[in-house]
Amino acid sequence: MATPDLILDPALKYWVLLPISFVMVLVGLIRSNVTYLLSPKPKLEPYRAVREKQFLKRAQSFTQNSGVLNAREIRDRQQFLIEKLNSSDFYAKEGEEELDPLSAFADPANNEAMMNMAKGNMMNYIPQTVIMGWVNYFFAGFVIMKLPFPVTDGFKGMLQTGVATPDLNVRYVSSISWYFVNLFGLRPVYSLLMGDKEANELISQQNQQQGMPNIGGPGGPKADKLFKAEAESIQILGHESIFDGIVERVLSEN
Amino acid sequence: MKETIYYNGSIQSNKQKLGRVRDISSLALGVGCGILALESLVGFGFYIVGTTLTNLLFIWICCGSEPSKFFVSPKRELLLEGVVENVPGFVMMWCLVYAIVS
Repeated sequence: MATPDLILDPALKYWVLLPISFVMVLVGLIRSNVTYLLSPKPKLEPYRAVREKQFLKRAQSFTQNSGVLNAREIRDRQQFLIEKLNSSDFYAKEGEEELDPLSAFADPANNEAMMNMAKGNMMNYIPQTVIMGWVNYFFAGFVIMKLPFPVTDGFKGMLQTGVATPDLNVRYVSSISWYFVNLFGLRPVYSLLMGDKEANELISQQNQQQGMPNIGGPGGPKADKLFKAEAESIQILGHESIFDGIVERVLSEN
Repeated sequence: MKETIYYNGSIQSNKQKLGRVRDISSLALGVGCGILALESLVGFGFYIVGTTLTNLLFIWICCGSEPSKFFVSPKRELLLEGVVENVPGFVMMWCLVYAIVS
């Protein structure tokens, strides 16, 4: 390099670099814990709603797996399911009124869901803004480190904010750029510190949610429509058992 | 005409283990790069060589040289994905250790 190296005070490392990293790691951990505390607990559903879902699921699994039953069993179940699906015995609410989609916003249950989303977003933005303000306020106006790789001059405005030397090499950066490097680079540190517990929880939650149709929710299909459709698909179900001609198949394969 | 069916939970857990190895390796490579005081392209080259080496070791040791048993699309998942995602972590440790060492 043509220009001689800038000599940086070694105390800068211990009083600026490490504190910023330390604070960011701690704030990240606190944030994840607070998010966990704020996350909604699963609520009890009224038994009629659960029964409605379970019954629909039962009908669906019958259509999918009817092959393991013999012809008489299929016929009996077909009769029973069609009868029940066409009656209103298993509906969660009797005589559903037509809701227009806008009134979904007035529903307290949906309001709660939106509130939770807002909380999650707030937990993302507030800590970052606070730390950025803190870094800008406490460590502004001096060069703290030299990056190990060259950066184009376009980054000068961002990386050297508050440093009033227009010709300084862009590799010398101020504290706010260390904040940004940390912001993007701490993900592996978090995932190692928090362990696999949270990830496992996420996966188990996803598994629970699978296969549960969103009946009666905002924008979701109405139960009676789903029941009618299921009744029709059961109606046209063919009588095909896996036991038909099983002896010939087994013998011919070997 | 046999179609391999993967169990989703196991695939997820394998991916998690791979991610963990990647996290550790990117941070460790950053520390190493900083201690060696490598600069600019040499440092990024060090990272690419290092991650590829880690991935190959993962295939050899953790997958017993048969990665298709544990991953749906082994070549892409093991060698290509995650290389770019872990660059920020590497750069962070690189900058930190470089600043502390120099």
